[in-house]
Amino acid sequence: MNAPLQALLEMKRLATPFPAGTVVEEWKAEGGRVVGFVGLAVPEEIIHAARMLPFRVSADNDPVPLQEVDACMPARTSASARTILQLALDGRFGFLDGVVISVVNEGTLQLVDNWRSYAPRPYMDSIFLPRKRTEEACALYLADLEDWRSRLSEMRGAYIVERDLARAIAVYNRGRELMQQLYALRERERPPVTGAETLEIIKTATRMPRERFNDLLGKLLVEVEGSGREVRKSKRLMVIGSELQDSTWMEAVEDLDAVVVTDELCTGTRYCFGQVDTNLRPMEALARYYLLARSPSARAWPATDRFRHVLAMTGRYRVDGVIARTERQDADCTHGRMALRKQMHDHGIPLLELDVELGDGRDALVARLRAFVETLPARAAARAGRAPARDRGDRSSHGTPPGAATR
Amino acid sequence: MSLGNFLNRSQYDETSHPAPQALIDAIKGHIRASEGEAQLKSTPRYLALVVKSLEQAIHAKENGNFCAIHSMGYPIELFWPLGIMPLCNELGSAMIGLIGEDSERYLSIAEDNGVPRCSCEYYRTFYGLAEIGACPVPDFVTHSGSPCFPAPTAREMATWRMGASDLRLDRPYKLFTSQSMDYWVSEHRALVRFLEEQTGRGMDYDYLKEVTKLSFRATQIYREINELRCAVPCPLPAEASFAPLAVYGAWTGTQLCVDFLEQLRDELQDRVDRGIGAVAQEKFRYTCSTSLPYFDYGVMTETEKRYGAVNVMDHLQWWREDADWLIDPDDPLASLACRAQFGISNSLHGTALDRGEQMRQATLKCKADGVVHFNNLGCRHGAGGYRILKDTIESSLGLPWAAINCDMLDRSITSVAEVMHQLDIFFETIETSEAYQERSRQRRPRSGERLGTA
Repeated sequence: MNAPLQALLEMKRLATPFPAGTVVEEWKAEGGRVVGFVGLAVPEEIIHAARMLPFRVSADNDPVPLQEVDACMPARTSASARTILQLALDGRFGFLDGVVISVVNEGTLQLVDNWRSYAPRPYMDSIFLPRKRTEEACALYLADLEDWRSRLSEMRGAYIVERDLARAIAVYNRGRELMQQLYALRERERPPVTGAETLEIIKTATRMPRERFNDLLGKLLVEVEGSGREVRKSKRLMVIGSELQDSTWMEAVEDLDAVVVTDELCTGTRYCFGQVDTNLRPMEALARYYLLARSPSARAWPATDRFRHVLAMTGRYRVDGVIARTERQDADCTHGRMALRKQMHDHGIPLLELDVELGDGRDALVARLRAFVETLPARAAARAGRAPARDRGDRSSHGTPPGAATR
Repeated sequence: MSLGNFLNRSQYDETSHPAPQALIDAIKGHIRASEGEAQLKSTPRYLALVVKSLEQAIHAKENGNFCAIHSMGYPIELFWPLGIMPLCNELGSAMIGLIGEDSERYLSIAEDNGVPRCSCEYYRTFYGLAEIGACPVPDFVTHSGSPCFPAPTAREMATWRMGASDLRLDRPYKLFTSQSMDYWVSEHRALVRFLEEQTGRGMDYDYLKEVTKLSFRATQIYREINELRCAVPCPLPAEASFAPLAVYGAWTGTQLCVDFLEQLRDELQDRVDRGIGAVAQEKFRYTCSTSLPYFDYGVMTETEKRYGAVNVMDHLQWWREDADWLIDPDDPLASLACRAQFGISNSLHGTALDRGEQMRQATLKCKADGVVHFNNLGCRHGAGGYRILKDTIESSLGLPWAAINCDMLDRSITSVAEVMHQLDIFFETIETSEAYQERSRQRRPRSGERLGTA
């Protein structure tokens, strides 16, 4: 049993209670404004450059009782969006001065209107993320971002200037660099941090000023290296899907003889891999990074780009098995599952498909996880003799998904 | 990495099409069975045009053409100059219910093969049809964000199943910004390139201009038909309420489409002139804020008989504003891209607030007494905008609203008896409202005015 990481404890202290943690209260007490964002197509750098605190709007580890939200978004709609709306209806996001939602699927689209109609904040906005990764799509996204920059400037009362954007990009690039260093540690045969710890770290990144987070993460990396920490588990797993906020779910996986060494999640590598190109105009660089340089989601076309990326990651992190975690009502993810299954099968990678609902009981989950993990030892033992990642698709350079250069 | 031959099933034999033909035969049987019963001459004709559409898709290759499966609201005008025969998957799925067949079988097949239940029943039925070879094997599949967000990934799934190529038209949900329109036009250009590559043929832009003009003409006539539906009594009976949508969806851009819509319009105009309504005594008028109940079309017919209630509009058939989308006859791509802004089958794509406003306008214009929301359990998109729609209608128009839980294609979810029971309550509620009684007095024909059915 490894000792808790002190820097992580400090991060969690600052980010609690949920949702408005100590650090948010401090920010507000100093007259700062907080803008909540939903989804990955909202460049935090623009909010940062507006001298406001970007705050990722989501649920946390504890299940949220869903009641009033049923009148707006019934149970068959997106669980993530429903949970956020319920929290909004409960007044839990009353500290937000504004909200920006990136519309990437039907859940987020429905969230925009329902939040605006039934629990509005003073400033409400939305941005469309194209579902193709082309130059034309990038032009649209960039123009939308420019429009949003103007609207946010109006809200702020002063124009968001290039210099501040460039500064914000530098701060956030530094954060990404540190988070990628954290992921690099997990490539080790015995990673020093668990998947659950990593998820908690990424979550706190989006709930406090990035400069402060960077400082703490830098300390955490030093602490890890100095502690000789090792997670001694025999199976290496990867979790794929969209947004996972509940680190106790990850803990349930890691309570078994397995450690999550990487992921393809919006709260993981999709969030923090890659870098914004500082040689470009800031807004263009942001558009290119957020649309083109991040790993493709299940909503992007063609789906084969995503599969190629997942395969490359399984090779790079020497993964024994993949858990595809899909929210039960996420049609885009479930539509791609048959092809994903075939891809994994063709490449000899064990795959566990889990349909989840927020607040699901753990017993059934753990039983399925255990059964899955128990099928993996033979592969783990054979790892030494197995050909490395080259058979599993294109090994990308650190943080850059294949075929998705920033320029 | 190719996903072709995804499952390599043998029933996809390009030379034989027994199962698709069976669907066509069933529709033909339905036409024969209802011969002499239709109020409108246009009713059997529209069904015949649906059959013709299916036949030309099935026999495309024999005739030296190509077959493309596409999603609803797609710019099929681009297909005609390249000899591509369109097959709309929602149209095929809806026809199964409309002719009295049970979609449950296809839904089960889809589920057995791993298609998730959270996927819309139109796509699941389509997948089931594909799985057993009841759907023609297309040369390629084209999909877009119309009519809703998950539509493209659902089509992609079926594409893998069929081992076909595909292209997505990525539709921004905000279409009213200049950058969105630029992108949407560029997507249309990408579609032309894709179609040219797939067929090995070059786009004949003069032909396309003519096709685009015909499509615009069809839009104008469609709107005239919608205007006629606003007449009291409403001249369009349930038997043909799907007709304009089905024919426009399958044939827009052709003279056939224009001819049919003109015939329907003239028939409706004649009925309006003679004061002939869909029912002998029109008592209630309602709009549908969803698509029509394709799981059993008998619901609408029974609604006419039992309550004298006539459907005057549904959300798929409403055109935004004046639908003046032919912005430049010499630039057919830009014009066709613009069509999507106004188009039918369009309302699910945008925001719920916009959809609510469009339904409010439709309900007001069509002089409806209430709104029926067939609360389609397979449609998460519609479900998420439900309250906004309801509030818009109830608070701004003061009209009653009925939400009826069902699946648009699966009869096993809600029985027709249950649906009718809920409609009993709904129309009773309307009847007792003071607002309705006042409207009813105003609508009552003065002495000497004619009223009746054909």
